Amino acid sequence: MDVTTVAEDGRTGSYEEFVAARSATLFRTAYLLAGSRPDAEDLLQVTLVKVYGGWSRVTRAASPEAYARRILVNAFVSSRRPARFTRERLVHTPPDDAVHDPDPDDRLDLWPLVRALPPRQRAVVVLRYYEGLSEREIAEELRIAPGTVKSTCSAALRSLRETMGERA
Amino acid sequence: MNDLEQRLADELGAVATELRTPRVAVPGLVAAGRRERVRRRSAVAGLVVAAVAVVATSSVAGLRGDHDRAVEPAPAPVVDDLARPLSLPWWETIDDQDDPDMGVLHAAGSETPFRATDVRYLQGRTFVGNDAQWWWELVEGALEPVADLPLTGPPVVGPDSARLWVEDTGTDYGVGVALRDGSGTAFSLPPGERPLAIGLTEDGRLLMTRGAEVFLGRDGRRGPTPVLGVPEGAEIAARAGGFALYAGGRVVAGRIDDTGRIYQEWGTDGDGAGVWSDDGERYAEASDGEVRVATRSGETGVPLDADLLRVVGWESETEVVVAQWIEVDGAVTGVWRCSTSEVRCAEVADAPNGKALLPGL
Repeated sequence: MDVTTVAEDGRTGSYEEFVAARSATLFRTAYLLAGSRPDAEDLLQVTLVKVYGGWSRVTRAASPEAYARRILVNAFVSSRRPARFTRERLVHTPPDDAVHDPDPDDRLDLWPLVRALPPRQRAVVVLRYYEGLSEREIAEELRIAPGTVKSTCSAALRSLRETMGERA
Repeated sequence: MNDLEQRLADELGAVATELRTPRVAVPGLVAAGRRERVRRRSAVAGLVVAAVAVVATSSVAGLRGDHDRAVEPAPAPVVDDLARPLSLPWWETIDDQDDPDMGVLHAAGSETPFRATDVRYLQGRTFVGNDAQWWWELVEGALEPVADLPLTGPPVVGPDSARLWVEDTGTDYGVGVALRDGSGTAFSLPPGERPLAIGLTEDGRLLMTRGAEVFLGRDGRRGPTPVLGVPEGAEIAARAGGFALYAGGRVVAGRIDDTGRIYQEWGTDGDGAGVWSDDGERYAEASDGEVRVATRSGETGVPLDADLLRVVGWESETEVVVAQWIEVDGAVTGVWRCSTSEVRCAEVADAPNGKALLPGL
């Protein structure tokens, strides 16, 4: 399979162009899911490798970015252990010690609590409130029933409320 | 959105906005992607070897190899994002020279190395077993033992996800029922013919067999009661909402009444090698050149120009997965997804090929 492909609808795109255009967006979602920069980088890498492996499917998808996000979210949910993400380290980053992201924990109340949610609840919360997907879209993305999305989201919100209540 | 939801949206957006995104080395990704493809291919039990074996077997078995390619790719609302073709679990040997029986279980987006001889997919849950009748359930990518002892046969799943199994203690038999909330019951059955777990009725009774005897149990105190009205020589199996009987070329969907007597709800022709849908309302069985789907209101035949077909399972309310399977060497030589609404089948790309275990095989 060549990395340059003409999609069925006539769209032409290369894998390199896709990575250049979409990796930042995917990385943000990966970070919100994985909760740390190293795990997010590993998750992004796993996702982009799988995107390469299924490039013909990606180019046929109605939304290649949504397709890649689906790979990412499912890779996250199905891999509870961060070690599963770390087959190879290919993502080059500038030295992490030189520049630090502002630590969200310093001023955000909810983010540490979201990071502590179980993987599926976290995935539903991120897709619902960061990506803005509907329950039905999330159900399709995670391949679970819409009712399960609803109950998972409710459980996550309840857990957040309870934890916030305990801290108050 | 309520206040909490709005705060979530705001704070997650703020976290994401302030992230410094990494530089990505595309050549490295491409190289890794190529290696991944090679790895996937080599994980297919030595695909080249398998292909040669298929050709050899085809000449003996007379496979036409002339598959329906009406749709390319296969109609697949559930095509796996990890490039796996099925949402149903499957297991395939890998080329492990140290352990030729080792394979990988693919299920729900996870890959689990395991030595398996049987795979079951029950009410959306995946179970794997080995020759010694040890059984595990795949839970979030990890295999958890069903019991601390080998079983007499595969576990079954009933209404409300209750799980029933029978353990072989070596001196007698232990019956276990685990409910979704973590509670459960256990009791013993005396030595004798091996009891097999068949199913659970909606009122919590346990359907089991011992040899030709079919009986219902509830707990150890009340003792088993025989099921009445089972035709001689009939096989009985679990079906959501009741049970299924296979006898004399007929497949019967039935129930058990309060007195323990079976009665027929509806039936269809078949030898029992098919698969019931999760709700127990549809039954699919393959024969040469066709997949027949029966419901209480009638039958539909979906043409598929191949033989040695077996139904693997249901991927949705309208889609059945069918495999061409060489029973003598356990080789899968083709997988199709058949739409009962569109009345057509299409071959699944990148399907398991070679020695493989799928739920219905």
